[in-house]
Formats: sequence, structure tokens, C-alpha cells
Amino acid sequence: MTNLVPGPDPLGLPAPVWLLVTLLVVTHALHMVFMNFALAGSWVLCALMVGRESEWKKMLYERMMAVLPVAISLAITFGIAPLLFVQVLYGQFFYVANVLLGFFWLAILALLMVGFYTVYALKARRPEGGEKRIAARPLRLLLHLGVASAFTAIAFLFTTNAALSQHPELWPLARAGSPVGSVWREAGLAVPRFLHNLVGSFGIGGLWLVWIALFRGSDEEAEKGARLGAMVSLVATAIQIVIGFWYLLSLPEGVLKRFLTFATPGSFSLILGILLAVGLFLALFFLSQAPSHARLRWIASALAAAVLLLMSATNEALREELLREHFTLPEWTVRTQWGPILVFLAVFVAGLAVVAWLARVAWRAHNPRGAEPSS
Amino acid sequence: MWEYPDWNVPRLGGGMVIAAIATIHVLVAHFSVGAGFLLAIGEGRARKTQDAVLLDFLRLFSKVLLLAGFVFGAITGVGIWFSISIASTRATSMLIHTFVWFWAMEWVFFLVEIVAGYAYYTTWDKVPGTVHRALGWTYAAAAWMSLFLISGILSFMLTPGEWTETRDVWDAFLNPTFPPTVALRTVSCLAIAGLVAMLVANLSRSLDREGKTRVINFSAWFLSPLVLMLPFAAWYFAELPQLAKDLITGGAVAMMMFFLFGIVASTLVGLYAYFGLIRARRYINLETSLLLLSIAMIATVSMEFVREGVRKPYLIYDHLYSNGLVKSEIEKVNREGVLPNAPWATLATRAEAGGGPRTGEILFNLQCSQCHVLGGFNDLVPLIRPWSRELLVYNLDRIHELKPFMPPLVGTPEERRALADTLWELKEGSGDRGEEAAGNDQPGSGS
Repeated sequence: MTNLVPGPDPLGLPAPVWLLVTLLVVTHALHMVFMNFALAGSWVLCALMVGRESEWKKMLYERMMAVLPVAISLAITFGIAPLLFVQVLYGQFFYVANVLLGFFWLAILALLMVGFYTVYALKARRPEGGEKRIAARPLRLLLHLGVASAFTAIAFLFTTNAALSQHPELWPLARAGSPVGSVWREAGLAVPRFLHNLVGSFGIGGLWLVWIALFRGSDEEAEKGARLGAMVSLVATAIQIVIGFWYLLSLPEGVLKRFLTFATPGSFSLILGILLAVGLFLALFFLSQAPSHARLRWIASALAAAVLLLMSATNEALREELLREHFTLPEWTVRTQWGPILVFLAVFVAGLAVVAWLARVAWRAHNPRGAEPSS
Repeated sequence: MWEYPDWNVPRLGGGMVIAAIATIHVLVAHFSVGAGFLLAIGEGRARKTQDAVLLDFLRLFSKVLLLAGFVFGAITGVGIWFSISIASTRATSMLIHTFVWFWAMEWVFFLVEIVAGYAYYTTWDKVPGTVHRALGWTYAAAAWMSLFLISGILSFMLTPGEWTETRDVWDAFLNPTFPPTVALRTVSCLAIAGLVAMLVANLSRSLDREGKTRVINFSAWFLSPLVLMLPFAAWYFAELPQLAKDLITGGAVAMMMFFLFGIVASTLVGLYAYFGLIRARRYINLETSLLLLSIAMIATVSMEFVREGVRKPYLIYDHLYSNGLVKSEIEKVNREGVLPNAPWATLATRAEAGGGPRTGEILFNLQCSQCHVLGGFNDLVPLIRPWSRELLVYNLDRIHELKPFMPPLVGTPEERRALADTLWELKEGSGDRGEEAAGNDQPGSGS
């Protein structure tokens, strides 16, 4: 069976493994920041449309709808970078999974397109002017459910791809039968992995709500929105810790043993990630009691960012462990392109500076007094 | 070798799926780049001449850019990655491992483009005019840099230059057709943006006839560089490999026609824009603007089709054949056979459960189906219908000599015979309808 795994590309790696892995981990975490808001936020928007209307719900809804298209764009943009680096490091596994999934893999594009344009349709105002948006409330709720379902389906397909590319033993089965079905029936960790991604998005997405609700200052309505965000994040984090252990225990025996015996650097990122996740839970608990407390908000956000980065690193360590019997990264022939790397770094630094300037201009334009989020 | 599973798309083939996604993306991406310049230049002019009509139009135009470029353009751009990874896996891997840092740079410019575009769209009347114009120019510059970098990678596939010997990425990027590709694409981008602007002006409810004419006459300036299409195309042509030149100058009639159509249509639209819209200051209605845009789009797609077509028999010129085989691997595969080097092909697929495919079918799937889809796009059966069995065997052995745009057929003598048997069965199985059609075919008319 192992002869089904293609060899690494003979052109070799254009950079040291550590550099590519670092970029993969960091850009993946950045993608998660925006993707989590797009995914969890689309469900929260559905929830805001259910039940009695209120001022704070309306305010939160409007602000979320203002941010959502930009967040989706940035989720796509920041998704391209890890897509690039995973192809460089693990192309021979990733490509096979893509081919086996075929139209399921391409379906992501259609789902994203439909979801994104529906968001813009939901944002549109009536042509006769005024603040009224198009479509009646039940139809709007239906469209919001459509967006949330489309984004969840994308998460489902990405999880399927990840599981298939990291379990070459499933490839003959996926080729002979349904590629999606074989993954979800046979890969024991597919279910906890998907739930880990889905529930985790509410942990980060909830914090987005806190910031969005309070970014023009704290009043009673804003505080209600922020409290909702903190509660969403708190509950998701609590469930996530449980799912995380389920995920861990569903790993193949050999892989689990390597994690538990600190035979992989992933053990350290995992343990630190769990400890910080507990810290995040506590910070969120206090934040839910006092949602407009600025310092708590910063602490919770910093902890969430650290947990995200550590879990992204653990995710890469897990990939390495699952593929260990087929391929290890040191097997790559490295032919470092130092010239292009230096040019890239120069472009990257200059690009960041320009993005910072653009963000500053846009922020000041929308907040004429230059007000920072107040507490 | 054939280390990856193949992706079977009935009727169309994987290549056509790539072509469909790429064509749509190229048009929208061209628009997105050109629109940046139209907005930045237009805003400068509108503010200088205090032209409120043009300024209002540009506000609307920036919304079109946002909805088309940032949603459709961005997603179809990712779509190209998705589709080439499943339909041309080996070429994708080679491009990624050669150009990862150039793609990383392109990603930085894309990020700047996205952020600048949102900043520009959301800050109309919220920042001073000079700052807003600076945002527009930032968007335009980032978008054009994105085009610049992608052009180097795309042109590499047709003219890899010294790279085939040195494997140096700079040789790959700074390849012979890179500069003319940038020039041609820049001209196309400006023209498509100008034509979309004319269409949007006609669709606008807030512009009266005079306002529409003013916007159309301004937008026409972005079409005038189309007159450079001819010299740029000549420059591009001069840098092509000899075989590609031969294909354009008559070796493949379709290539010649598309190339000529692309140049002539673009030049004519450019001349019309200059004499009709800029000098005579004429108005064009919705239907005419749509017609002009369609002609320009078809011309752009024609040139893309030529770029892809004259690359045959290669995906990466002089290195990787269109059927996924590296040139240097031919001897090994002829010696060892195709089957031992194609582990996925011998696995029974879902449709074949209960009995794996036969040798001839495997060879067809691996070496022919990338371009020839049974019962679908560029079907092989009509092409071999006039051939006798002896001619079929003879031709298969030297197909790359008879038709230089096709890769050589590889495999052991037994495998080649098995492929000939399969093709003969397909031909025979095509029935009386085939016999009838064969009577009307001109010998050698197939390609």
C-alpha cells in the first residue's frame, strides 16, 4: 500500500524546513483568527435574529455585518498562505487528498462564493433609501442560516481533506468508494477534529463580539453585546477543553504514546496550550462578569492568541506524527533560495508597514476623534 | 512518473475545468488591476477639474470593483489553485517548489491590495482628497505588482529559458517572454477596466446622457493603449520557442486564427476608442458597450488560449509533458513499462469495482485523457476513425513526429500494443454512425 504515497518533489525545498514550518504555523493561526469570526459570527448573526428584537441586538447585528465581509476577505487572503506552505512541505499527501475528493474539494469554492455574495445581499439597503435592509425578517433569517451552513460545510470539507491527507491508509478505500464517507467512517479522529475546529471558532469568534460591541465605547447596550460575546467564548472554551481531550484520546495508539512521552515537540505546545486554555477559561469567566473591563479583555485576547498559535503548532506536530511511517520532513532535499527569501522579507516588511498605514487611515476615517476602544 | 491518482471528469476532462475557472478568473483579475488605475487617475482628474459627475461615478465604480474583484476574483483565484492541484498535479508541485517565494511575495501584494481596496471604498468623503487618491494609487500599485509577479510564473511555463539547465529560480522568473507578457497584460487590464466603466456608466441610474458621455469619453483613454497590442504581440512572438512559432504561423490553424483574432480585435477596439470616443467624443449605449466588452474579453481569452495552446506538447516547456511525464523519464518508462510506474492507475476505481482496468485503458487514461475525453471534449475516436489498424499502430509509435504538439507515446512494446487494441476497440465500437462520418472525413484533418 505504501507505494501509493508519491515521493517528495525532486526539485526539493526552496528553504530550510524550520522556516517553512514556522510560516505554515503562523499563517495558519492568522487564518483561524479571521475564519473563526466568519464561521462562528455567521451562526451568532442567526441567533441575533431569533426571539424578541432589542436595541442591543440590533446594534451588535449592524456592527457585525459591517465587519463580516472584511473578515471573510481576510480569512481567504490569510488562508492562501498556509495553503502555499502546506503544498511545499506536504504536497505529495495534500494533492492526493485533493484529487480523491475531486468535486467535493472544488465545492468549497461554490460554497464560499454563495456565502460571501449572500452576506453582501444581506448588507444591502433598500434602493429607495433609508436604513432598511432588503428582504423580510423570515427570509433574512433563512439567508443567514444559508451562509452559516455554507461556511460550516466548508469547515467540514477542509477537515475531511486534512484527515484524508494525513491517513494514507484510507486512500485505496477512498478511491474505491466514497472519499468523504470513507474518511468519516474510518478515520477515528475525524469527528472530534471537526468539532474541535467548529467549537473552537466560537471561542475566538466570541472574543471578536466583545471587541466589536465595545469599539465605540461602553454603554448599557454595548455591554449587553459584549456580555453575549464573552459568554459564547466562555462556553465554547469549556466545551473545547473536553473535546480536546476526546481528540487527544482518539489518536492512533503510537501517535498518542509519542505525545504523552514527550517524544515530539508537539507535546510541549500541547501542554502549554492546555494550561493557557485553562487560563483563558478563567479570564473569560471574569470577563463575562465585567465585559467592559479593558484589561481583562486584553488578557483574554492575548491568551486566546497564544492558545491559537500553540494549537496550530500542535496541529503541525500531529501531522508529522501521523505521517511518520510514510515520510518525515528531514527526508527533503533542501536547496535554499536565499536571494528570493531576502527579497520576500523586504517585501513583507514593506507590505506590513503599508497595511498598518492603510488600517490607521481607515480607522481614523471611521473614528474621527481617533478614539481607541474604551473601557 | 504517474505517482498521483487521476481525476476523471466525464465529457469535459480536468483540463477544461481548469480552463473554465482560469478564464473567468483572468477576466475578473484583469479588470481588478485596470480598475485600480482608472480609479486613481480618474479621481485625480475629477478633483482637479472639480468634476462631481465623474467623482460620483468613480464611487459607484469602486463598489463594482469590490463586489466583482474582492469576491469573485479572489475566490476564482483560489479556484485555480484548487483545480490545477487535482488536474495537473505534477506541474503544480513543480511550480510551487520552484516559485514559492515569488508566490509569497505575490501574496503580500494581494494582502495590500485587499486592505487598500477596502480602505479606499469605505473612506469616500471621510478622508481628504489627497489621502483618498493615495489609497487608490496604493491599491493600483499593489494590484499591478501582483500581475507582474504572476506574469513571470505563467511565462516561465512557456519559455523556461536557462532554467532547464541551471534550475536557478531567477533564470526561471526572468524568462524570455516575461517582459512582453507584462506589457500585453497591462494593456488588456486597462482596456477591460475602461470597457467595464462604460458598461457601468450605462447601467447607472444617476447619470444623465451628458454625464454618461463624459464618463465614457474619459474611460476610452484606457482603451487607447490597445493600439500597442500589435508591437507587443510581435515582441512576444519573437521570444517564443521555434515550435510555438511554427504552430502560430500555420502548424495549428486554430492557434494562428486565435492569435490573429486577438491582435486584430484588440487593435480595432483601440482605434475605435481613440477616433470615435476620444476625438469625436461620441456616446455609446448599453448594448454597444456590452458588445465592445465582449469583443475585448474574447480577444483576451483568445490570447490566453494561444499561450496555453502553443505550449504543447509541454506543460513546462522542454521539461514536463502535457501528460505529466518529465522528458528525462521517457527512457526509463520505455524500459520498465508504464504500469510499474503508475501505482494508482492499477487500483480499481469505484466504477470499476469487481475488476480493475485493462492495460490499454490504463495507458489511455495516463497518456491520452488529459487532452482527449471519450465521448466529450476533443474525443479521440473521430480523430482515428479514418485510420486502418496498421496505420493506427504505425502512427502511435511516432505520434510526436507526425504531430509535434503531442508528447511521445511511452511504454513497452506490449503496452503500446494494448493501447492500440483499446483504441481500435473504441473505434470499432463507435458503430455505423462512425463509419458514415468517416466517409466525409478528410485524411489527416484530425489533430
